[in-house]
Amino acid sequence: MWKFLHSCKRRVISLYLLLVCCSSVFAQNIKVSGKVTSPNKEPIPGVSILLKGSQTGAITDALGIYTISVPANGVLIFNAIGFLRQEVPVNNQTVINVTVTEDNKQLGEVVVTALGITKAKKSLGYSATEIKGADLAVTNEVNPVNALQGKVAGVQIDQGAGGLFGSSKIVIRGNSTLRNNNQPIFVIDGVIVENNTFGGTGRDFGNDLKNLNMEDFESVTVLKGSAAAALYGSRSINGVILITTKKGRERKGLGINVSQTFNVFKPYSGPDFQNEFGGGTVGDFFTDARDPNYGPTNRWRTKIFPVDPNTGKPYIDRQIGRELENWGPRFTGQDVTNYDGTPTKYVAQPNNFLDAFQTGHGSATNVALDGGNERSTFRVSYTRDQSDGVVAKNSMLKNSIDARVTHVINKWLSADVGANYTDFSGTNPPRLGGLDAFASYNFGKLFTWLLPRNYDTKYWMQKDKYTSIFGGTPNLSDPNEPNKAPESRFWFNLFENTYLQNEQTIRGRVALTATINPWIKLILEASVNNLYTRIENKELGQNPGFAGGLYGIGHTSKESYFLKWMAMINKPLTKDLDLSGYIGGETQRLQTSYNYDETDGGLSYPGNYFLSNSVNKPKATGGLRSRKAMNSLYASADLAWKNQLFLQGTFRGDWSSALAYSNGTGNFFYTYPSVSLSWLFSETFKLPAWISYGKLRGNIAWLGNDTDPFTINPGFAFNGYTQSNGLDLPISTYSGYKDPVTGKIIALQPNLQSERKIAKEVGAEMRFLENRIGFDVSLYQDNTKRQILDIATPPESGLQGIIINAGNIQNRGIEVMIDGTPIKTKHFEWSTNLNYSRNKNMIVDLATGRTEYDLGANIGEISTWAVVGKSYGTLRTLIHSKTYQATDANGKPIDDPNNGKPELAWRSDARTGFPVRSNTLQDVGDINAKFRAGWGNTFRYKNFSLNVLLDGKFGGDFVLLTYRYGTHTGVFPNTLAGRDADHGGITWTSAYDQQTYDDGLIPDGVFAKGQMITQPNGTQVNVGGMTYQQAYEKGYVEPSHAPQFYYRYGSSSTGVADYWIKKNSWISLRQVSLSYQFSPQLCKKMMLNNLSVAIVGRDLLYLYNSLPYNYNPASNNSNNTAFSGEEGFLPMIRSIAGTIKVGF
Amino acid sequence: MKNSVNRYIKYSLLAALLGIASCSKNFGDINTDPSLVTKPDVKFLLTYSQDKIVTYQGTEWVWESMEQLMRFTQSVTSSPYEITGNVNTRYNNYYLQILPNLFEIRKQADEMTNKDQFQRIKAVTYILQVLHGIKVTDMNGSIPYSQAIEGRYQTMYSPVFDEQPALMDNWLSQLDNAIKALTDNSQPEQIGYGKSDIFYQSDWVKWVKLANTLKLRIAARLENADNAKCRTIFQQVLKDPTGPISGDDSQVKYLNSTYAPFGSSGDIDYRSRRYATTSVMTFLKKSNDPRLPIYYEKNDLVGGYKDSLTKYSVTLPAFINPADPLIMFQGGPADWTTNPTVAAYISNPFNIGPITKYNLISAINRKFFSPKLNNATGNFMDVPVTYAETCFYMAEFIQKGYAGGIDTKGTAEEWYNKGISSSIQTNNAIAIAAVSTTGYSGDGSTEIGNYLKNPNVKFNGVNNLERIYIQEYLSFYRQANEAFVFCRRTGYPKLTSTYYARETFNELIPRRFWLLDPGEVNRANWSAAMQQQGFTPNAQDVPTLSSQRIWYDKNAPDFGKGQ
Repeated sequence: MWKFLHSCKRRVISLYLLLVCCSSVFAQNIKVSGKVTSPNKEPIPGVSILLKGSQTGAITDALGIYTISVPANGVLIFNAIGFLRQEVPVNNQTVINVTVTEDNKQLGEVVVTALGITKAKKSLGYSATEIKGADLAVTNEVNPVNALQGKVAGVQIDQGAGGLFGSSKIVIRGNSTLRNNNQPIFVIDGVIVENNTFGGTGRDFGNDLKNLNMEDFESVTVLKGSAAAALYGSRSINGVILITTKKGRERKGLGINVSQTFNVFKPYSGPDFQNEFGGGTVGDFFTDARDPNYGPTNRWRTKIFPVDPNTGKPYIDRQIGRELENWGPRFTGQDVTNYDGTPTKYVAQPNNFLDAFQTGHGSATNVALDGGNERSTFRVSYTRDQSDGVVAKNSMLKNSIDARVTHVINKWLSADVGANYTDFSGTNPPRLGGLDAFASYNFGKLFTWLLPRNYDTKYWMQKDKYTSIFGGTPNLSDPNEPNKAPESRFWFNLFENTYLQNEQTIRGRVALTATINPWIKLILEASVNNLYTRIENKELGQNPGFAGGLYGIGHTSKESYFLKWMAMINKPLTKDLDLSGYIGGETQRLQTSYNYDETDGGLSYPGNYFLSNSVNKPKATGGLRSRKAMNSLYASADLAWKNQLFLQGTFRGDWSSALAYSNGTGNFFYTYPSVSLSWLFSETFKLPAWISYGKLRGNIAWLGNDTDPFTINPGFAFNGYTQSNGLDLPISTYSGYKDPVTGKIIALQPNLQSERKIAKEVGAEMRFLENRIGFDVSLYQDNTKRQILDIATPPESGLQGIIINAGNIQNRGIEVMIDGTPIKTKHFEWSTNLNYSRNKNMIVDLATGRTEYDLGANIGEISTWAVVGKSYGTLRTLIHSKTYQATDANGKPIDDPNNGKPELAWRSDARTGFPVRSNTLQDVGDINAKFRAGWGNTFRYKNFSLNVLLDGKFGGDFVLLTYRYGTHTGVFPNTLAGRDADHGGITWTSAYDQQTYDDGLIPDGVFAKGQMITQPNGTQVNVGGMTYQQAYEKGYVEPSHAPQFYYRYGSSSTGVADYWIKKNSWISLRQVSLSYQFSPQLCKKMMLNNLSVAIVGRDLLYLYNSLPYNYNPASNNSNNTAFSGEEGFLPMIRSIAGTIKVGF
Repeated sequence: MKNSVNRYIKYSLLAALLGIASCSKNFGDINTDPSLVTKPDVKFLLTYSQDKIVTYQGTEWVWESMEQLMRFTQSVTSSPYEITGNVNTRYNNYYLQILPNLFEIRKQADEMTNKDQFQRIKAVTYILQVLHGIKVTDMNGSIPYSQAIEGRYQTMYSPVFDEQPALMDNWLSQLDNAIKALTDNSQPEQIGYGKSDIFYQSDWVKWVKLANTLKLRIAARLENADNAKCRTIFQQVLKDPTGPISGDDSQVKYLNSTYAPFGSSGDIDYRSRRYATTSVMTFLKKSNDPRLPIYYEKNDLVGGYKDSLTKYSVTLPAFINPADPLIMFQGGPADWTTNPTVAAYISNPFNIGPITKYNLISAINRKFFSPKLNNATGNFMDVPVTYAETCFYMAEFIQKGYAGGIDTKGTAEEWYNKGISSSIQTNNAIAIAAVSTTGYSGDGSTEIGNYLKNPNVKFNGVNNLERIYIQEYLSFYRQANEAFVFCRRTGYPKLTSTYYARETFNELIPRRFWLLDPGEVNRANWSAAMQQQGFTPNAQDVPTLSSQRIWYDKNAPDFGKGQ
């Protein structure tokens, strides 16, 4: 520990020396004071004033006022970010007021950077993109991540399928760690908001980001380069999204701005199902006994109804206890008995998937009051956001109050105080993910695995249809139950159960800025960010008499506070050299505690939701989920030379408790240095007039990271009690990771260290033709090393993993942004911007002796891996088909025309051949996109503004598990081929039973060497090496019944992964918005400051979609960054919103 | 001015340095989860492992026992379903839930200053390891054991797979050592687990009996592969002064008032309700078995059904004898395709009148397995190692002449009768705990006595061994793995028997489960084991699983082809 203190001290002392050296000698002169204002009379703080030819300088305070002692014949240089440099001779004046003019060469563009410090964009040695808050607010998204989609190069966003307020995935410049959360943090006015991932199972209530209000955002800066993020500590390893909220403005009277939005969410498209054949089993072979009422002579015949032996009437196959396949008759409106015994017509229900959804709608109201005088400003804003989603009972209500006050207390002290309170209540987000063999809550699985094309959703989703006459849900195994409709419990769960999450966020911040002298400011800042969550789960019992059911209630308190001090200097050193910088420190404390109580064994009084209504003793859990302390010191020094060369060095040291062992030892101190350089070469050289601006930049940064609290101090946990032999006995075993009770059993490498990321970036920005066109290019390479990984071990070792320091992940990429204004006339303007990003991820190294790392994101039997020499996100499976290779007698490969075709397996019980599984682990895809791009256009005509945003993703594999399901069950059009003569089915008379069939199909592939097939007469024939077609031509096999082939092709025991891993490339018409700004004259007549109306359409349609059958590309059911695929799609949903904004 | 500036800088730096001094204060405490301890008490660890041996089986009951194994043994018939990756949960649970604590108990015991007093605490951990280890190798063949669970202690992450002969030898010697430690009276006074030992409450004698019964289990499994060793083990057990489990009170019993492997709703009917097979029903009826109402539910032919039949002039289907006094118990074909006529009544009720419908085939007694069904209040009781099983091994081995002149403490017939009696009593006790249908009220001595005298039960000198086999089979009704291992080992019930015939079953039956590629860390050992055993790596299809056998199963007859 002393070693660290020592090194810490040494660095602080060096900085001190630097500061001392910089202070210079003042001469005795006349005192000049004055005020610096903008053309519209707003005071400008932070303007540096320098005596020409000396190191004497001053800086304006919050009121724009400065004082400086200078020789009476000197010349003052006024230099402010965003404004042109001005020189004013003193000429014995004691008061010099200056009005600066805006720099329209774009040299003055400013951005908010790390720790909330505003900087000139020209001085940045790294890439940062700023977006105006208003551009995000217009999207009406709940999740700010969705609003960023397509707007920033290098930022990958994949919307989730979690409903109204579900999580989306955002990754900046690729996955940099082997963890599942590689998302950036969000920082709002210096307060860090977590961006947690949703695991993919359970209900996605979204993360903390949904409690932010975009109406209150002034600006959002995406800090992509690690140099930018180096000052946020460990949590910034994946980048930072920096949000600055609005402040009040100095004005006469009160500014009142009201905006009201109404929106609708319309599920407009589901996948394309086949609508020609309805429910019916595949036939009767011994692993799947069919309803015996098909009769013994129809063992291989599909497209028929079973017949009730008692009534002699055909009925729709209920397929009890199994997935509902679609090998039933062709729809012709036959009279048939329905699942509940009533007569019905047998017809297709083409819209039965979309029928399961409703049109969602919502409204959002924002009222903001602001005002201020030259000493104080305030802004108070209230937001109410209410929505009903497209899934029944999925709704949300958010009320939020945000206040911000700034006040200049006296000449040297000013305060900035902000507070936010948000109350969010969400209910019943859809639950996706592979939960069990059936489709509990999973719409996509329901309609591909369980419900046939004849299923009349609107009829069966009625309460009296999904409820059993005995109470609860119909139990199809109960012979006395008359209602044999499949999966009634889906609707029962959907409509009868309630899952509530209420969140109350309290965020407060106080910042005091003291101007110590003209070039030193001291900032003290404190903030709290507390989130209190209450969850309530209510489930109605599904057993007869509504017995069973559940009630649970839980609370989580996530509390954090933060203290910071910072001394800022801003001082001209010489005529050509300016120094600015800061030294600071902060301390953070975070703690999360929770409790959750739940009934056990059902409810004694069905449908009454309270804990003591539990049949057995209720179960109680709770405790501390995490606790962490972080202390930090940081410093930054910026040198600016002749307004053309900018050098910034930053340093941060973190002490994180998460790396401390219980006895107080550990490697818990780590540092982050960074250096960046920006060169405005357009200022250095005399360039042709058509080049307006040119800049080169570069940076290198070292980042560190800790791990989750408690991780490195495992022990033994209690795992509840066993009530055996009349006793309640506690049971205990090793604590798990990450959850002490349910997590993995792990061991630890001794002496763990912090992680290290090394990020390098170079870039260029140029603007031409008086700024009409410009580009910004970045090239980067990031390497994350020494990661704290839990690397899997075979369970036979008694462990599921060991936590070690290892790995080297590399991300390399390019980002390009081009913007231009092709047309600019008095009334019409077209501005456009294009962004493009490409990232290549590579695993350079894992741990010793390891070349593969299972990332723990499995979909079906496809798993996601990090493989040395390949990427984070290599898809692998055991169940890809095997390729045929002929061999000679010695087993040596030989040439054969059938080589390369899939090898076929044969099942006599199905009388079909189908691709055989290789049963070896093969790489079958890569989830990483080749590139992403966004194209925004704004057309302004007089007061109309039309904005059109397209974005696209190209490449990246996506696992479509329900496509496999739907092939197995015959709901997709790919299973039509061969079903009957109309669909190309071969008609033949089978030698097995002398019956004639028309559903013959010849599977593509070659039989394995030595494959024997028993003929109808009992003899055996070797078909090894023949294609199915060749064996068929020789008369050794009959055509396969088409249903039998598709059934095996997608089945859980024989299906292959060949056809349901697809490129997920798309181009989305992400946004079209049309707004009209009423003219100031008209507003004035109506006694308004401003009035505008807008209509915005989001996620309107896919102009291109590479997924088959119109699958929704936004079906990812987890924002786990290793996850690329679906286990249950949602329909494509578009939203249309109308907004009116009025300013009084 | 300059001075004041310097003063400010100095103050700032002072503040910074003070900050550093407390930079890492209390970090050790902050980063320690208050709900964890570093020094565990061995008794909580033991309870955990014992509890897991039974309670890990939730998935196993639903997906493996009910859906697969009990169909293969023809204890039940139901709509068949393809075998999935949900079987074989016994494997990972062994290494992650059961074994680690047992190893840790021994480590903790060895670290005690009075470690000599922990010898029996340590000894019983081996017995538990063997108890579940046998079940793991039953369906997997070679498994890691001698180098397993050493990741934490020895950084050994790639344990070799021990072949079955070595496994069995290792287990036998571990059992022998445990018996020695548990019966060695020269040790200092031994510390026990007290009530935290939920199987035997630290009654060391019962632990010795369990160890001896486990030796019998191993002997039975070695019968076809190493008959000489089978006999040797049997004779060792006969000679042991304590001997195997000797009564219902030394069975491994687990009664839990909250554990419900089938939950409180319909998991017992998961995917399909299960029914009695024709073969089991025929035998239980003709022998008037007291276990019949415990094992299977009545159909709807009860009460005034005859009046309804008469009222609507309906005749029962031909497979039912209207004069059968046990008409309320009917089985269905084990393979539905072999008798679609009767199978149709599994899916469809029999229509009597416009409203009246009768279900004709008897389902399994669902509350017997799922005592919380529909929120009922019964309790789940499991007896993973029974006295009946012990008795039937004794009877079987004596009958086969494996005793080699050593005192068998009773004839084969006496052991046979004890086994039957215990099986009936134990199953009745389970039914009572489950608040399910019982076989009798009172102590059952009359019913059991009558049963033993039944000509279909009593030794007749003609097929005594088959009678032992059938009773052994019937006693394993609730122990799906033991029943499967029994049918696989003996080929009984026999397809061709006139006494108790296995039904025709067209479906292929896997003789083992599978272990998937464990990843690069232990791929070499896994591949070697697969190759050594002749297993197709990663294959999960039934044609492969039915044709590739584990070592001790290699000489066993096919299902139903017992000699």
